[in-house]
Amino acid sequence: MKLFVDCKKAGHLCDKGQYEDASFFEKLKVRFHNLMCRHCSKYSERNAKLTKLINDPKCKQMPEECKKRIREELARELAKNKH
Amino acid sequence: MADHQIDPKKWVDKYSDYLYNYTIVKVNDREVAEDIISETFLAGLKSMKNFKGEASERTWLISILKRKIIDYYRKINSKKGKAEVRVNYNSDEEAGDWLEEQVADPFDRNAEDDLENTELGVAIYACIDKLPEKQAAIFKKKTIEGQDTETICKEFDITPSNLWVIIHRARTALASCLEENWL
Repeated sequence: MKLFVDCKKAGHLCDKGQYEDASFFEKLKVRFHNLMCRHCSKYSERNAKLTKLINDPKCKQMPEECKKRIREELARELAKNKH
Repeated sequence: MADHQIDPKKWVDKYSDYLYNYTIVKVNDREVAEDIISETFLAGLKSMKNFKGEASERTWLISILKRKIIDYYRKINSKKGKAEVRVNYNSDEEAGDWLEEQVADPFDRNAEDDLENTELGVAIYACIDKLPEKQAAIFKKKTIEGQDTETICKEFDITPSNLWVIIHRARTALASCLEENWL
């Protein structure tokens, strides 16, 4: 296990970090790398902002049951049209 | 030859979240939004032969959706009863432009609204829509539905490192798509 990682690895770990898929040590590696690398530090910042936007309650997703219902409705109509 | 193809089987997966965000800020009710979207898709199905392929499928669906939203407001307005509407004009010059006329008509704009004037949810899904289909599907599953890596890898028959490359590309593309107005 080494603390120093290259930019590619840091970027990957940063992505993982957006999904709670990164371990504490991995997050530490990103932080450590970012101290030395302005480019990656900027990437991390942007990435975190993107995560925040996506998790914003104003960004909604149609409930899965509703999607399912509409899918079925459409399928029924399509089947009718074929006859 | 039409420039754009139409494929109703993919509508729900591709557009429902976008339309949902678009509708919910305008009607402010989850169930109403769901009904309106379901009606929109059904109406789309019925008028499929009118689709000329000049606009994208999504733009076309949005134009149907807008009409459905207007219909919804017409319906609830007529239910409210035919109460007399009194309009106070501030001056004689303004006579004629009362409330309804003063409100900027959001339906008036052509095709889709400028991104800068839309809501966050609409902007995000508009950007996701620009991603390649598979990338968008994987990104949504991982990021918005919060499915775990293993499940998605199995479904798409890819390795975890494939998945992370796809996620990375999607995130980079989304960040630059949202950059101007949101980041």
